[in-house]
Amino acid sequence: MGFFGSAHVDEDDDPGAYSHMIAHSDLPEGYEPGFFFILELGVFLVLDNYISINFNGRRKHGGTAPLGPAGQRLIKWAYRFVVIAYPPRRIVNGTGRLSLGALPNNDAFLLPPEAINSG
Amino acid sequence: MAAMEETTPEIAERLKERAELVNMPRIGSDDNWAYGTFQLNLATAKNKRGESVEFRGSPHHRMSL
Repeated sequence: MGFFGSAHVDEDDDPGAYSHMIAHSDLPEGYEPGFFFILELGVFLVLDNYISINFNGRRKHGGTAPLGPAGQRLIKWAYRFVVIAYPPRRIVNGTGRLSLGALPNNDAFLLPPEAINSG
Repeated sequence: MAAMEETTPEIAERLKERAELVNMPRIGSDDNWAYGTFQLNLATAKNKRGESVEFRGSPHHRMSL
């Protein structure tokens, strides 16, 4: 992630549903946690611990990395993690084939839409 | 989901109805009517001038469920 990292749109998300993100970091003293932006709305979040947000993944969004003090070697265990729960269109609108599990020979056991709903 | 029920209940209702209608798989909990999948992102820290001292190239790792 560069300084203004990877702003993007989640094209395969359902347009009417929301993604949820929760952020948590293990950062040393003096490190900044970084930001999360929803660019087209002009809002941002400071990614402090236990912060969570619902947002529409079809709006352009991105983030910046945690920052350590200039001129100092970065501490190896300085990490931020986020969990994103999101709504891929084909899963939430019932048109996708779902992978139920693995089969031999690198195959997947797939449930097609007609096996899941009668619509 | 609790936040959506609280602040945008009409949207929450629509999403719940649709999940029922299409028999959406409930990942992680039967109460999950909103999220079809999950992803974990890990990001390492960078120095303030924008370069990572420890890691070059791909500065973060991603795992999908």
